[in-house]
Amino acid sequence: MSIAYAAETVHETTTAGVDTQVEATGVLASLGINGTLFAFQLINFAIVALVIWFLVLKPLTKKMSERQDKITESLIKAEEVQTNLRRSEIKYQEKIDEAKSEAAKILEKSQDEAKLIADKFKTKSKQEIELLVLQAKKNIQIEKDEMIIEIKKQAGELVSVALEKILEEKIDDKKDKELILRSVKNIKI
Amino acid sequence: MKQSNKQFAIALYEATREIKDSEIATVANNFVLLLSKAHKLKRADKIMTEFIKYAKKQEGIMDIEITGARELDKKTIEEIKKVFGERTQSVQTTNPDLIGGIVVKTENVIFDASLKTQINNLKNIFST
Repeated sequence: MSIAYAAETVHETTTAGVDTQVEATGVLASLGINGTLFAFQLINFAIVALVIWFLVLKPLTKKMSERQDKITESLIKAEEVQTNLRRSEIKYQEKIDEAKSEAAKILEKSQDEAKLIADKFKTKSKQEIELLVLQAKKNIQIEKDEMIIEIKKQAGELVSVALEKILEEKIDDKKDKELILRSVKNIKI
Repeated sequence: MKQSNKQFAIALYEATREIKDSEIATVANNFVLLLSKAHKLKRADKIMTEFIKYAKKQEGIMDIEITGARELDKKTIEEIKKVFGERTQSVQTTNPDLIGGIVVKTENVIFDASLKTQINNLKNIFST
């Protein structure tokens, strides 16, 4: 900006210089300055300044402006990215929260189901145990009855063997005859 | 028409029931001829068994088999026979396994008054 300002000042000075040349000649001469040379130098300087302006400073300024725009655009984009990132984070957090909530629900449901299954199994096991106990009692009763029958059978056999032995020894012809006659009296045709 | 052994036996009994002893041989001869014509001579033994059985039944004669653990005396056998009738014929056998008492078998019934059977009955009571 200072170069442009200098060039403009030089230009104005050059324009004004032509008009006041006559007056200035006297002043510049008193200061030891050649007016014509000074004017040409000013023109040269102006030309150089203009060349520099159009060839260097203006494209440079344009480039810088473009760069500035790019940077601004990048910053805006970065801001957008940042915003999007925040949104994504929020969404992510929401999703996480939702997932946690869902997981908690699933966990709760699973616990309920597990409890139900456990209760069901518990009831079933209890019924099976009761059935087994009942069956065992029945088996015990059956075995008991069988044992009683077996004992009675054994006792009967023992008694009969003992009776046979005793009677074989005790029954003689006389007693046998008495027994036969007593039996005959009871025969009814 | 086929005739059974019993029918032949009944016919023979009816033919011989009211005849004189002198006529029995003739009737027997005729009966044998009849069996021969009917091709039943092979069954003659069985027919005679049926005849004896039927004749005894008709005459009121009862056959009994008395089985005792020991040999029975005549008096005891007579006592037993009296129960079954005056025209009772008996056969006696012994079976020491009976221990005591008697078993009397008739044609249709068995009277078991042996000690062995009573002991078995007692044994059965224990078993049930």
